[in-house]
Amino acid sequence: MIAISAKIQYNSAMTVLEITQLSKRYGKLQALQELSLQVRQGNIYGLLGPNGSGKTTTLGIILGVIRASGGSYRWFDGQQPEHLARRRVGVLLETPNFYPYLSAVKNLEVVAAIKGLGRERIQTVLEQVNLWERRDTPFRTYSLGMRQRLAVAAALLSDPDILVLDEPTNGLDPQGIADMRQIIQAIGASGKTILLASHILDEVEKICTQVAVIKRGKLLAAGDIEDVLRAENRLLIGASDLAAVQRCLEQHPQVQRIQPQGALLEVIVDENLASEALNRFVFEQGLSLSHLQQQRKGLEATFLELTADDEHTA
Amino acid sequence: MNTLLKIELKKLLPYRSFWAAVIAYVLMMGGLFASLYRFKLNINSVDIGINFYYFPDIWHNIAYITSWFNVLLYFFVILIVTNEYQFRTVRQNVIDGLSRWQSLTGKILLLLLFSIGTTVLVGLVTLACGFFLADTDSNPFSLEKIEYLGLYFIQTLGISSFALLVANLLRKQGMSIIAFLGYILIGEPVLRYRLLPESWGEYLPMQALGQLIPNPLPAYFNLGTLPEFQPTLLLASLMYTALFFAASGWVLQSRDL
Repeated sequence: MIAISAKIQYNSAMTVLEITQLSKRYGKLQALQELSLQVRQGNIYGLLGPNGSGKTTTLGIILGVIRASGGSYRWFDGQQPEHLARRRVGVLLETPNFYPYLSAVKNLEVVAAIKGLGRERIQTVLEQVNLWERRDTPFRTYSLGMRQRLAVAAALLSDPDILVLDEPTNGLDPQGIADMRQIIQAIGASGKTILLASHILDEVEKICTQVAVIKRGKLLAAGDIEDVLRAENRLLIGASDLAAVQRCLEQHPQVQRIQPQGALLEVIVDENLASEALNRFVFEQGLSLSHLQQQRKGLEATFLELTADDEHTA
Repeated sequence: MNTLLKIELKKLLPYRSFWAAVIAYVLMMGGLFASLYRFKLNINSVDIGINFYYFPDIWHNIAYITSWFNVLLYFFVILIVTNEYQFRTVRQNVIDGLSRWQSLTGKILLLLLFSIGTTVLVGLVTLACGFFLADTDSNPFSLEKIEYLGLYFIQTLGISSFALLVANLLRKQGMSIIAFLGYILIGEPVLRYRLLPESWGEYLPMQALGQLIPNPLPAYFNLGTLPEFQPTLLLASLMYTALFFAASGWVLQSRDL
């Protein structure tokens, strides 16, 4: 509810990526439905949604490998042809794609040649991800963690303006996950723009400043992360005259929603409204409560609610 | 253009299968012609094989024989193109910043390079055989019929462009090889002899490309005269080559990678 009304805060920074009413249909399946969002310079933007919600499809389209059925997208205000814009984007996909018979260095030379770069940064990025020692062994001999790290090196090779990450911690061990998050945060802290697709709320919450929540290819909410995934206060209230209490509470500006919960009322209030204050408010109206219980709802619940099946959330 | 070819060479040159294929190709070629040296067959008291290396027919003869070795090259084209799908690197290349057209252009340039390479090799083999294996006193060096070298180039490029299309369409190595051979060995003969009117058959793509260098051997067995190539087939071959490249482009442009 809140999420929908949340206003997206735009600043004056350049729009790195603008997606307008993007749609993709695979036969009968509508994988993406008129998705629109804007990533501005310096944003750490999370694309959050359950598996199969259309995150990877969205990334595939904006990276030029999936054809959209409708809508459009623009990199860097459309200053240059799309494939040239893509050279300025660092991309880390779920599965690293490299030539198995080429070494780390040779694979990065191919990437560098495509991006129109020299070999200067190859050593730097391989050292950054701890692969310099293994630089001359073929990619096919690498473990999953090493493959993922080579993909990070490739993504950083062009010192890109924006990093696009698709489920970057999938399949990694806890140490790998921690390392990866640290790398992403360090990159974000250096002022780079990041677009991170993930189904893990915790990950998005820890890393991102902006978020778009999608489900079944539809945008449910977008904006600053605090606005979209705000933890709300949920109170359970009991009283002898429940109807009068409900009428009274509806007057309170910080009460967002009231719904019956068995013999009690479930009252959703703004986060900063203390239960004492609400109790006092009711008392001042000449009513008294027989039950007042605070239930703080976590982000997890907000996320689940956002992506739940109810139409009213969309 | 130059950059696109460089990118392709960065992928190709460290690839061991490439060098294995090159070595196999060169050895096969050298071996065959050395073994045909002083090849004599006596059928019905007619000696054959003796004139095989004589200028100027040698240009035609060797172009014809070596065109059969090119199956190795066409398989290799299928291999490297389907590899890109199997490794998902065709996708990665586009993500990294190639346009789909550039991705195709790189492969076309590579096919051009392969075709030039084999044509030069065939030219060298022809010269070597002509000078060292034949009696140049009675049949001196001649550039007459050197056009067969050019036809060899066009044929190689044309059939490679068909291999490229099949690989781009099917993406899987085994399936592509089966489809490529299946079309040439079964599909086109069925079309030619069973389905299409008689005069159309010779303008089918593989037939037209194949007949650019007509089989000279029957003439050596006293079965007819040495055939000449037909200019209309040259035109058809060039059109098919362009068409196959365009079709590969269409496939790459329209599909999700």
